[in-house]
Amino acid sequence: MKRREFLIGAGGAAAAAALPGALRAQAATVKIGTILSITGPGAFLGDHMKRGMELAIEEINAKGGVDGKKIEWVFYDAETQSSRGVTATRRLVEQDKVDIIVGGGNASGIALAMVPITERAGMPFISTEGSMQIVNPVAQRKWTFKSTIDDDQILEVAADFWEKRGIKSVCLLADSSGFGASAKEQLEKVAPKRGLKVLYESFNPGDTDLTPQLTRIKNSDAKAILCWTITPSGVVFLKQAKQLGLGDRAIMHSYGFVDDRYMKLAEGAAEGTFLMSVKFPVGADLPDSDPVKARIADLTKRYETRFKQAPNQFVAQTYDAINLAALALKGSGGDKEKIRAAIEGIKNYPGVGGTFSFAADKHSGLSKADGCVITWKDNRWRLAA
Amino acid sequence: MAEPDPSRGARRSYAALGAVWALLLLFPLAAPNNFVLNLGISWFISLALAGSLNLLMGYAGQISLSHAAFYGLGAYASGVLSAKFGVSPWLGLCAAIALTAAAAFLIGWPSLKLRGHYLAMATLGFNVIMSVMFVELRGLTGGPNGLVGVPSLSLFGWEIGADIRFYLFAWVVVGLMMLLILNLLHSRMGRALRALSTSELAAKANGIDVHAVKLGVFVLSAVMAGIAGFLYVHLNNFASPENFDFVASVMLLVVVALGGTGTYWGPFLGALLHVVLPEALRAFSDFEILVYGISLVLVLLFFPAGLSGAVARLGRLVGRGGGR
Repeated sequence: MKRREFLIGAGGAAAAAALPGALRAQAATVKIGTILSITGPGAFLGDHMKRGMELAIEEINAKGGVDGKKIEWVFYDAETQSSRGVTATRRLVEQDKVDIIVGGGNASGIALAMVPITERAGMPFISTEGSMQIVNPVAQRKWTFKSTIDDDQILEVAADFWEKRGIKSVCLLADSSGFGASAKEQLEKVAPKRGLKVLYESFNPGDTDLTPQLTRIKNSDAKAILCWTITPSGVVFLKQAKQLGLGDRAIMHSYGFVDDRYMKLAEGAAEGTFLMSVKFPVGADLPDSDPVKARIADLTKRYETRFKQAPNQFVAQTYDAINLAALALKGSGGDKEKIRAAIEGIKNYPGVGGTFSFAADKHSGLSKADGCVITWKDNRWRLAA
Repeated sequence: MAEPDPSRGARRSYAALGAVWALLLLFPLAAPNNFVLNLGISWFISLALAGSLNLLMGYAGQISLSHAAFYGLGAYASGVLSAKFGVSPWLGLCAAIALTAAAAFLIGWPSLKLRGHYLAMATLGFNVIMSVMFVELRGLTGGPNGLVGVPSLSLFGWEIGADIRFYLFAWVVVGLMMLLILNLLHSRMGRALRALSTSELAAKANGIDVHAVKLGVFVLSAVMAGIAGFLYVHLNNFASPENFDFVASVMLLVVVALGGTGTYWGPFLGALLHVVLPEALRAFSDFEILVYGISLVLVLLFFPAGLSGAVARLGRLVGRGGGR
């Protein structure tokens, strides 16, 4: 007996930390676990995403919670490191024994590191990160879902945009990160279907000079240049494209660059840039017939009241994910298989980021209809005509 | 005999290691859940890393800034072979050992011939190169998003998942490593190491092949880091480049220094702090990193000989008090 006590002492703070968790478990709550990065390079995204979840949980609890039980939220910071994300995931699964995990460290790399653990444990997981790999191949991702739009869907939106303008030859200027690589991979599939001729150029995240790539593009017949990065190199792209006289081509960015601070950094050069996006940034421009419009206005108002700050699309991403989780938890009684099946069964859920539909072979909730092309004009986002 | 028998100290160390390892076998009984058990596994891996680095840094007096690169090389070697080519992880282990040994030999051979901080500089460069390779060899390593789909280990048809089975497996593997280090320290090689860390010239004059000893220890410590990487990748079924970058190497130096450089038990305590402290500080949420940093600074300020030095000092104080 004594030895056992000693060992518990040796386990130290870790074991002590387990105690309140065990006590809490007796209360009548449902538990949602979240991992985001609110420190490290991903901190800027993480802050907004965390607030989106906070708001969603406060609202649900104010309305009486799920099946009359309050949501208990267990939040861990992944510090933008996948190894911290992995330990935090184990902690949520094994110690906190949450009913579902929402949020994967706001970096695709972290979410991908979490998936083997959640899959093995049979833990439902709604990722709020981008990479398609997180939920593909679906056969190996029984328990994993995602609340963001897939690259192939957003590229279809781009193809429509080009078709409307009679553009047949384009250039994808993607960075060499996983984010850029995924876009190239998907465009290689989409382009032949849509009869597009594509020139592929690449650069390293953070590069400060893109003159060689842009010169090659200038000498090509590409009528649109789609840049795919989340790093400040995208600002360099905007400025140098203007300088090199590429203004006659359509200058475009991916949803990873939908950030007004980047646009302001590029000064005048950002004017008229087209960006692939969800509809959130241009809620006010949407036709009244679009059901998302009212939801965006509504969330914006509530978010501004609560946090004295304007929301962005990342807020919508996590706000929706928590609501989807709450929907799936309803009536499940904590049965993981029921929760999982409930997510698969969600059809046409009216979210703020779009309309979510899942299926057994489709674990990514959004689709082409939820994407759009927006443009930066007079220091604000507008829907591109 | 007028001189104290040197083997008595050795016997005591073996007995202590045996006792600690036997106690560790009881940890799974005390662990309230799988998460705490996994912290135990993380501790084994950290100990393998810190112990092997301590052998090089604390005993041979050579600073390596690429311990994390060898750790990563071991992880990716076995991980890539098993995830992309379906090779058995046990063959992957052989590849991890061979690759880390070869890499360490190639870097160590020229740079260990020179005196001063050439090894530190060469290893720093090596770590940066390896980080670039892990990211850029996208077809093999999965690039910046990391390597996914690494299978778990299995032995005689038994899957060694991230639970008690992996704990026992790590218990055996890391136990053998720590035993090997202890053996080494009490052998002729260990005495040669200590001699050359005080004065290379004096060691040479005593007939020690300084270059060969340094190179041998460097390769050995790299291989141990590679094996730790093998454990890591099959435990988590995943590897990501940022775990093995230059910053991670520096962190390992800190872990060794925290525990107590050049003491056998230092890495045990350093690894314990490295694994438990961040988890214990989760409660501080936003201030976690701040508290973590401050506690590290405090330890180094007040216990310059590391935690094991502090424990030894405490032991001496208590011993003296008891003697009176």
